[in-house]
This record gives sequence, structure tokens and C-alpha cells, in this order.
Amino acid sequence: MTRTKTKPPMRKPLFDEDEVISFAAMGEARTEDAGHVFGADTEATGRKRKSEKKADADRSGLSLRLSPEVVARLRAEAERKGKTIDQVVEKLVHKHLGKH
Amino acid sequence: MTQIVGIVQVKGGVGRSTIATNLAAIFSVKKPTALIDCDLPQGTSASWFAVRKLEQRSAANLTLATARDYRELVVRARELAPRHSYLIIDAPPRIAEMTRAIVIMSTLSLVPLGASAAEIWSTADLLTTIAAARQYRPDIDARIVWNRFRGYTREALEISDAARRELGLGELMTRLGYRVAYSEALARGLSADEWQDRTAHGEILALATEVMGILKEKRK
Repeated sequence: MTRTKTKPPMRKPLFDEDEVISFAAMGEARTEDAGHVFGADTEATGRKRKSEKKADADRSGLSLRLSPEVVARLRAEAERKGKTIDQVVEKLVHKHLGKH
Repeated sequence: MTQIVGIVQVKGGVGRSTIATNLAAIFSVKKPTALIDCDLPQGTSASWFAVRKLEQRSAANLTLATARDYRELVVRARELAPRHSYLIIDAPPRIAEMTRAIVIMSTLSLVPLGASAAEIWSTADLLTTIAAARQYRPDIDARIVWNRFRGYTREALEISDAARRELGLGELMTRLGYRVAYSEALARGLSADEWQDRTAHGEILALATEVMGILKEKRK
């Protein structure tokens, strides 16, 4: 299917927002793993974290070192489908490795 | 194109806010500049800006913003970028997600460092973050700014030589000396070039000129 034409942005992007969030969040994960507390949680954020943790209980993390080209393709695919990179990778694994 | 200068250092009291506020004031004379204070609740840069406005010093081209976490910082930067040529970010004194975000989003990261062993030891964690950020963005540029530098002492010269070898970071040619003028100016909402110490005046203008030169090269 041909994608609809959109105008290219005239202004060069300031930075890659996904990249900043993802790189910064790696530090957040490490901080939580290490059990350090840098600031007291409010009751609301505490509840949110608990629910996020519960939802993530059956999931585990994995760091991958991929070529920039593969990372770019994953990002583009995730953006095109409106999904997260995790979901794209999971779907690919189900599709290609599920039958073995 | 908007360029971002992050002032990052793990250790507190090394002069991050001094450098951030001075660069913001001097840059804003030439181009619209935003100063983003991420060191909350301390908020030295935000307080400096409030005093500056009370003193009715020129802040026409200077905008202040604050960010409490890295997601808010990303939003602020996105909002401010279209209207500003420079974003100067005053980072918090710890390696957390905010510092990681600042390092990876900055066109140039400045790492204030005093010539003392304790300050150099504390920079080790930051080096790890810079190395990790380079895996994402190989063009990450982080450079030391020597601050409170007593160039006439043998220890300062020996420690700065050792740091150059050990840390593997580039450094700016301009060094800021150990002068009360910086804290006196900051407390009054001024930049050092608006204060009466001629030496500090010269140092801070040299620093701003050097940083602007680096940013100009990056625009090519």
C-alpha cells in the first residue's frame, strides 16, 4: 500500500525525542534495579508505579546491541504501525520463531 | 537551528549554575536564548533570573523555564526551540535520567571541574554516561570547563594535566579563576560581564566567545 504524501518538516528536528526518552529511561531502570531512591514518590505516582509494575510482572527486559540500520528500521516500523518497538519485536518473534 | 548547551556535572557546587546563567545572559544579547533550570528544588538559575527581573536588567531575549523530570525537559525543549537560537540547560548534580537526557540531547555538554582530586573522582560516573550516549549518538561532544582554577599553584597544574590524561575529555581553552565576582554577580541577577571585576569580565566573555565559536562550527 502506498503511504499518503505528507509535507517534509522545514525545520531540522532539534533532537530525536524517542532516543532521548529511551536513553534516559535506561538510567531510570538501572536506578530502580539498584534500589536507590532519589526523591520521595507522591501517593499518586506510587500507585501508578505499583500498577505499572503489576502489569509488567509477566514481562522481562533484554538489552540488544543492534546495527543503527536495524534500529532505524524498527523505529520506522513501530511509528508506521503506531506501536512500541517492543510490540514490533514481539510480533516478529511470534511470526518467525513461533512455529519452531 | 536551535542549539543546546548542557551544563552537566555529578558533583554539587562546581559552578554549573554560574556557567549556565552567564552563558544565558551573554548569548541572549545576540540571539533569543532560553535557560532551563533542571536543578530543582534548589533552582539557583531560576532564582538568578527572578532577581534579574527585579533588578530590571535586560531579559528581553532571555526566557526561563524549569523542568522537574526528563520527560518534562523534552516537552519544554520542544516548545522553546522554535523561538530560541540557544537552549542552555542547568543540570542537576547527580547521575539520573535527567542528566542522561541532557547529555544525549545537547549539541555541546560542558562539564565544570575544579582542579581537585575529589571533583575528578566524581566525574568517573559521568564519563560512563557520556560513553553510553556515544553508542546512541557518536557525535556527542562533552568538554571540561576548568572552574575556580588557580593556575599559579603547582597542584592545580598537576591535577589538570592528570585529568587530561585520565578522563579523556576535551577541554575548553578558557579557564575561570577562583573569584568572588562570580558569586557576587549571580546573587544580584547579573552576569560577570555586568559586574565590576575586570578579570572575571574578560574570562566570562572569553568563555562565551569560545562556546559560540564551537557552536558555529557545528552549524556548518
